[in-house]
Amino acid sequence: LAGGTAQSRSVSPKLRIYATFAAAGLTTGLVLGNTPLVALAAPFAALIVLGLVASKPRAPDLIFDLGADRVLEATELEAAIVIHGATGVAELELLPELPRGIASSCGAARLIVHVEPGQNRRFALPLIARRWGAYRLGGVHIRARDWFGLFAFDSHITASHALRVYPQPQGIRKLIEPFRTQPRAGGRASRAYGDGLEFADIRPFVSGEPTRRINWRVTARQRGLYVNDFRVERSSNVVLFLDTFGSAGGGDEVLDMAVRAASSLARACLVSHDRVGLVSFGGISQWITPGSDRAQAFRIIDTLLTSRITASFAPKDIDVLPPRSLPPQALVIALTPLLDDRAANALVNLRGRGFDLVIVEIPPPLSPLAGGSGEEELALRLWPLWRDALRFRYEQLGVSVVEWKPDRGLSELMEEARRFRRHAHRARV
Amino acid sequence: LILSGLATIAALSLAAYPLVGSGNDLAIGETLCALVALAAVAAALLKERPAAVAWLLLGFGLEFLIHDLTDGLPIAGNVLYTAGLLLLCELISAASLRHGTVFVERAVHVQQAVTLAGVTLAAALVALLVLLFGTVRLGSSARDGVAATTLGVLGITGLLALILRLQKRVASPSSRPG
Repeated sequence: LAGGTAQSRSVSPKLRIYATFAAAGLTTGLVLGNTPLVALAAPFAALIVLGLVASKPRAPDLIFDLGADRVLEATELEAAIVIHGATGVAELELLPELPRGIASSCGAARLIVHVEPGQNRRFALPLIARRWGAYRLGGVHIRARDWFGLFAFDSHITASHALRVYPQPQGIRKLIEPFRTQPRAGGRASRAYGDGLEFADIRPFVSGEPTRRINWRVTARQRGLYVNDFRVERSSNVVLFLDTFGSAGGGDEVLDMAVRAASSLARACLVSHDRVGLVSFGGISQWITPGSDRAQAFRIIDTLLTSRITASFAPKDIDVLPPRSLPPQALVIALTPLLDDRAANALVNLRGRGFDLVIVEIPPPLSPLAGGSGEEELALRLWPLWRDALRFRYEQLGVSVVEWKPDRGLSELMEEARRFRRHAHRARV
Repeated sequence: LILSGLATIAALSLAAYPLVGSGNDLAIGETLCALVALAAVAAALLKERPAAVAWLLLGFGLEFLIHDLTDGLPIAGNVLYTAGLLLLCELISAASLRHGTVFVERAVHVQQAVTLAGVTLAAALVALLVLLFGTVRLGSSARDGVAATTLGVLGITGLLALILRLQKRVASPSSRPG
């Protein structure tokens, strides 16, 4: 970002105060014939004259170098401000406009520096990305002051730097195994037998089978040829379903956790060679059709970064989504606070259409009302019961609902879902 | 913190100096003025209000005037008081520009110290020169008095014109330098 815009010159309050004091002092001294009073006021008048004669400050050209356009959350960013002062500035104040999620890592976001004439200087401005998101850095306010601080020259540089801060990925030991895999090579052991690595079963030899599959120990014990069967490694379609209909508690905690979980799951699934897609279902719906290439992670996370909770009262169902965004027999991992009926019904609808569904419930941070009336307390007691009933309804459909709280890791969550799915019978809807 | 500390010391010295040698009958007026000035200094340093500089100038100016009218000040005292008052104003202005969390380069500190020292010395010099010129008698006739008064009035008028011009400049739209 080079050059300044919206430049203006201003007079400091000090100059006006000094001028008033000098005028008052000199007038009073003249009227009273009091030389000491004139001597008291004269230096102030002299300073003003000196300030007017001295060179006028002018904001120098500067370049704001962000250093990177994509960073991980909670990592430092080596931004820098490069100044070229043609005329030199006695005191140059720089105030970068930082968005909410970006802060100065050294604590001071305001710099006061000195620039000699014709000097190029580079000032490091270490920043830290505190929260994930897509940001546009809002420019730099510049104020150049003269030697006596009587005049200031203000300038503003409009920025066009976009910065994407990705959520810090959480480690997931083992993912949920989908009920069905796709006929493509991947990293998941499917139910089908074939050329794979994971041992599945032992069965009698059939003529024509490769001899390297023969299990010689069992063959010696059973007095007949037996072979090992292996599971074929296949991939699956995974769709991350983000409920952006609404949150509660007045903050973005639910969306924040949902985006963190979705980005970590997307990364982990792509490492397992699954095809991963995204559906952001809410006031404004977005989707990304499943894919497994390296760029898919960036596509998904970039879309997640722009996710917002948008209030909407329009009736909406999954019919609004294109069929390609939800491939048949895909594993759908829904991240939802289970607050909005439209999202809750859409999940039932998905299950009804035969999707393999797992719900990660992110409970909204609600606290009891202080001094609330009896009816409000009753409502607050009924609400958890209503949520329990909703969970029970899903579980009756063979859908595992796992509750995610900030103190639980995603691995623990996945393990709980896997445990439920191991014993749950698959209900017909 | 250093600037605030120096400003506090300067303010206390300025407030205490005329009170030490003042007479009992007018000490109340001077004390009140000194208190007003000290309150203004505190407001400027603690609440970061640069406009408080006006109040401290008023307080210390009145204190100085009352003391000078009643007891009088020696030339050295006058020079020191003037230099101290300007130094105090500069310290408060510098402190108000550095409020909050701000990174200030070492070169700025050095340059600020040099400027403060230079301004203080220059103020002392100007005050001394004015006091010395004030002792010179141009003449005893009424014409000389009128000429001196006219010159003074012209000077003050010029200063007032400058104030008005500065006020206009603040109100004018932003100028883009060529």
